[in-house]
Amino acid sequence: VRDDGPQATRRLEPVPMPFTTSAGPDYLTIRNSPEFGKLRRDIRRLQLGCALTLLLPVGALTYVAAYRSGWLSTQVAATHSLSLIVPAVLLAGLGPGTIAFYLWRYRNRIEPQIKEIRRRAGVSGT
Amino acid sequence: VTGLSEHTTLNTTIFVVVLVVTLVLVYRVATRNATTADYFAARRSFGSGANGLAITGDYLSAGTILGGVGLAVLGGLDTMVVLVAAALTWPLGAVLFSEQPRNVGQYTISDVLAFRMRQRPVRAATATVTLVVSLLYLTSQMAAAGSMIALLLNVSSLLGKLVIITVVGTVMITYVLVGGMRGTTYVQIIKAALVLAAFALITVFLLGRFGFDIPHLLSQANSRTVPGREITRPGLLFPGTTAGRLDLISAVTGLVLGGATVPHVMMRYFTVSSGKQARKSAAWATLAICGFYLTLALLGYGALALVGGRTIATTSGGGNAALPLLAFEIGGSWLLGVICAVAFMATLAVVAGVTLTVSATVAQDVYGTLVKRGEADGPALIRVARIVAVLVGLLAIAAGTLAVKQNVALLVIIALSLSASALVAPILYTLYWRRFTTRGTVWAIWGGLLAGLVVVAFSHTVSGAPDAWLPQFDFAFVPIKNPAIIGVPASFLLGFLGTVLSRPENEGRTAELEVRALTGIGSS
Repeated sequence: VRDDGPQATRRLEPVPMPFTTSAGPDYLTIRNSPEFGKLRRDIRRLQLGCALTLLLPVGALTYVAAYRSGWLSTQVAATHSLSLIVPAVLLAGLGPGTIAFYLWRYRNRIEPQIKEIRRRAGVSGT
Repeated sequence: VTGLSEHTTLNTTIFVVVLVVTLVLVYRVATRNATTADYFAARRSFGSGANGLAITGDYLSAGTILGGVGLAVLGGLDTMVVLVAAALTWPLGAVLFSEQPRNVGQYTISDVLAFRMRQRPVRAATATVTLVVSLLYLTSQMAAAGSMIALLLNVSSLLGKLVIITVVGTVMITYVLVGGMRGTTYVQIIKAALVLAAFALITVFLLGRFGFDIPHLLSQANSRTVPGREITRPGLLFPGTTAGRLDLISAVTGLVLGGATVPHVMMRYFTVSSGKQARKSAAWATLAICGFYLTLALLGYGALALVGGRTIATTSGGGNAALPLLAFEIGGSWLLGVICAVAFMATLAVVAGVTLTVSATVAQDVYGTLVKRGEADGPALIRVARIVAVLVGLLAIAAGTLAVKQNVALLVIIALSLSASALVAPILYTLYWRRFTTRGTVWAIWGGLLAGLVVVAFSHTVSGAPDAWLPQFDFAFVPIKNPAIIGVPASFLLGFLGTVLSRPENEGRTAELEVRALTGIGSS
């Protein structure tokens, strides 16, 4: 094995093919590319995770309110029962918290990938 | 506080001022030589913050503002569940229904669903859903306008309410005709800012009354509830029977899935410049709406603590009067005036937004695609949209007068449930399932809509109950009133069956949709 150093490594790196044809972006090529596959997977995971984070507590609260409402009468403090605290936490914490995480994750993990794919398709920005 | 009747002059003055100011505003911002991009999407010129406020404004109707506080006063534990569902539809919408539909569509939700399908059947189905949902929503808002403005202006006669509905309908038509999307969006932005500022102001004053001691406020509220309507009591909105429990689950399903997919709100995503802006505007709307619902519950308990459940229940307007009564108790006539301005503005803005959606859908899908087969030019589309806005306005005035005695909150939940039933499955399938076909789309839309309508038609909403639309008849056999628990699964199932029973379609267009949705490449 010949060791040509870092210069050789750079020479062997494949140059990414552009995602364009003379008619514009080549959608089939973009969709079938590994970069797009990774982007798709990452977005789906993020969306599924955030959607379940929101839906499961709402589903649980609804079930408890419908079939086990006694649980929500549990007194946590003199005037605070779970029926007031749980909805307040969901409104003040879960909704804004989930959306903040979603935006943060999208900006840091998803947008760089989108930017790269758009660059190769000859489109600027995200 | 004995009622709101002694403030009629102040409230009427505020009503007139709101009308004049908003009409002048709409006239000033309207673009004279409007293109379709101008009229239907405000040339995609709004930023995420402004659009987030406009979405908030579209979602927070007068029924939500006044009726929501009333529900917190009289609805017990069920209210809290409904409020959580109504608020958390927004983060869900930001995650699933904002950026990708914006990247794919142009002016309406039909553009998204028909993108890779055969245009005519899909647009016909989507236009029908938009019309049904929007007209139901519009009817509820017009009825609410009649009742609530009549309450604030101390109008008790039926004729007076009809005059109010006619005035609201006429102003709404003017907004849409003159302002288009740009004008109605500015009205929504101002309204949302006014609502949020007013709620923040009253909340601060309310908490100040109790030395910012929330436990003290809650204990006062608990001690002044109507007997049998304690704030933590379950089963006040949905009885503790099997049907009542299923109805609660169905209502929550409809609110969570329908709130963020209702056509007039989804249309707002097309007014921003990119998918990223749509995502951010949904996030702004989430913050505003979650904050709103949090303060709304607090104001309900504040109304109980300061005004008392008995006083609210016996005042003309019942629960709807809770917020005006609380405002008067805290800040006297001037704060009551602020709440009246908010309520007037809320009513006018929401009905204008819904009317614009209906007119855009009819112009684009029915006239542009079904009648002219895609060969209509821009001026013709705008002309048709304006004619439709007038017709829809007249229809809404008529429907609002017929529905003036109906339960407004129930009508809104049914409209959202129908939207969830008919639109959620096809939108998700379109964006996430490559194999999805035209037949699947059409079956999902029609199946969800018809299943939802059948549930409503044969429920106690329409017949067999004293407060039904047709109380003299009884053909109700469906025990629940909210259709989402039937309609949503039916739509998913039929969409799946329609797809597997048909051949795969247009691979190239599917690839384009997928790439556009996720990266924005190719979207305008």
